[in-house]
Amino acid sequence: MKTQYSKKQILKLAGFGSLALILGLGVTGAFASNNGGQSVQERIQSLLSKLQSASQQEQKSGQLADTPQGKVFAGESAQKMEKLHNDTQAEIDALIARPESERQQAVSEIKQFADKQDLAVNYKNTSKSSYNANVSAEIYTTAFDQYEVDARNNQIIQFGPKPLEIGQESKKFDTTARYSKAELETMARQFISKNAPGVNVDNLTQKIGDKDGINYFFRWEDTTREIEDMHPLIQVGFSRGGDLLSYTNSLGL
Amino acid sequence: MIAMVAVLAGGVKSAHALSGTYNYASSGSYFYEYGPSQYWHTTTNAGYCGHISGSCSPNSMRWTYNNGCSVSNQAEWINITSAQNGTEKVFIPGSSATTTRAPYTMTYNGANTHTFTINQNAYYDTWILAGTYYDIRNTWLSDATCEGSSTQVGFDEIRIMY
Repeated sequence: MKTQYSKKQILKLAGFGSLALILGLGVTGAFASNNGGQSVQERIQSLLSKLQSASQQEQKSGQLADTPQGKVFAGESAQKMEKLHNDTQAEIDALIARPESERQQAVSEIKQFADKQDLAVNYKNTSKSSYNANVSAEIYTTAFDQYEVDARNNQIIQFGPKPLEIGQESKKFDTTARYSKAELETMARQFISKNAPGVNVDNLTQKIGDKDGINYFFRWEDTTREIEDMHPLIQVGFSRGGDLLSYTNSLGL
Repeated sequence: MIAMVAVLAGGVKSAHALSGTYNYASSGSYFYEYGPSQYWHTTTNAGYCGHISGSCSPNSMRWTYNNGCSVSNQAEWINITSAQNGTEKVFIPGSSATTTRAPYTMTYNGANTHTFTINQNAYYDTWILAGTYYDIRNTWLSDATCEGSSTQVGFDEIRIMY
């Protein structure tokens, strides 16, 4: 039986909101190039068509199970199709990603950001930035964290704990009541001065938030413009014990 | 460059090629809640539409407390089916989202599932990348965080970029 923690009454939703659709121009320049008479987009489509055929065949003859998520692959079918999917995604990524030699600069930026030159940084894939679909972003992971990097200039757009597998040990943060809100703000400003030296937060609109008085988030927005319905922002999150939680900088997008 | 912004209230699923960015809200015909209603809560003026974007609705988010390791309350975002690659992101609200292990499940590639957790407590009004997948179907989030203490699981926007 679930414990009811709050006596706050449930508010009825208006019920009119559902799906916001933003149409954008989100295709990277890489899609326009040609190789062997076939455009990158055509090669991607060919790879996805093969994947689709394999999936459809597996749904007819493979192992499936009824779950709360519907009929899904089970056992060897799940493993086989997951591997095929991941292999296909890797082939597609090789078509649209920057050369590894160029990505080394992004890796260097991440190591500098983390202040750890021996940090193991893994390139994951290239996709669209969370804050601007027209900007190609690279995703890198470390043991516990995920970085989104602007592929145009290697600047870090976002850093924070990466999504984990169920049951995987998560990163622990120091929540000791060591620093005041004012001290944490000073730390956030110093952090921005070091990692985004071109940003003058005093020219931006400040917003400070917290989660249960334990984790604090210092945010500055450029309210003079919007990108995909959001004001560009720079934000630093610190636990009250002084650990860096997450960082976002969409000002350059 | 954004070509158009529109809010759709319909419930039609389609299989045609999609283009652009699709946000699925925590209400309306693309969102289903399950579990005892007394455990569902609403925070107004919070979440992507309530606190960040000025052009979508509702101006609120949904949340529930965690329920140990078993599922009591969960929600499903009904994503429009499209046989193409998409990148999924989840919006973590600044309010009412303090779990360190929000358990998500998504279906893709016809019948594959992917489960993962996100530390909602470490993010504040930002988008978090879940990954790039072929043929993304639906997305679930439950209260089975397996946390010993009382934390809030926040349910807000899901975004798929094509």
